[in-house]
Amino acid sequence: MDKLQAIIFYIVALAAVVGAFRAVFTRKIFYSVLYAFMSFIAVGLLFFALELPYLGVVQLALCGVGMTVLFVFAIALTGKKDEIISPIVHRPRTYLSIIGLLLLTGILACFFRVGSFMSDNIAQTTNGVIPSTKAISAELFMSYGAPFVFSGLFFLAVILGFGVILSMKIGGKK
Amino acid sequence: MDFLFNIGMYHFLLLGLFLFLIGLLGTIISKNLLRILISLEIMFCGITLNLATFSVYSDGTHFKGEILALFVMVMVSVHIAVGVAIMLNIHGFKGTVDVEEIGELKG
Repeated sequence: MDKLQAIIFYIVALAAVVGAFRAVFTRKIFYSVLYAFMSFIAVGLLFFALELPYLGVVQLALCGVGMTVLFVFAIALTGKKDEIISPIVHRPRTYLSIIGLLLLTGILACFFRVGSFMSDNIAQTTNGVIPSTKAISAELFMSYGAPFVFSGLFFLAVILGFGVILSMKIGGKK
Repeated sequence: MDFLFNIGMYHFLLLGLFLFLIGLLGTIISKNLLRILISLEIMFCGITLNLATFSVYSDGTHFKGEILALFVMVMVSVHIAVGVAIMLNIHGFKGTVDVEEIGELKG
């Protein structure tokens, strides 16, 4: 990757991280969903940068748009004002968690051995062969046909289950 | 400078790690059930990014990791959808989505 591509990568990566961070710490839950949407879209763009268009499209469609619509509908259905603008954190627990996670980041960064992959790039590692969408589709429908069909059926069953759970009455309030 | 402008596997892994940790942080500290689900989704985004990165850099010609990442994405969406359904049901039952108020396991 040249410098321009590196700068684009940093912009998209920053959007992903800032979106995720704001999604966690924004007070209003609706804005939180919008920031999460920004993060999902940025991750989808990163899949394109990794030469994985199939995954990128699925990320944009399923995790980006699909999940955002689901969250927005959930907010609309649970939409009391005091819940939409609810307090989000316990302060002592927040600070302790941030310190712990910073330590964990340091440990994991050491684990990845900083700089050992610096000169890698995709074309070098794969000898210039980038899997095409057509090849992935062929693999998905032939070698991985059974799990693909199974996960599709599972997805269908969950959509039906979603309706069943919503229509259930769990005691208490009628 | 070479490290900054030569984007490689390490950059993508680090980004996935950041996303995972931010999601984990949100899962730990959030009180709103919907925000916990959003944080879980962010965590899984980081995981999928790491899977895809390893797929590209270690097995770029056979794309097994990519297909695994695809299945992980579908499963995550399914889990989140079920979580939202349960959350809506809990809201109908308890009238709140605050995890501290709905923290009783006894039915």
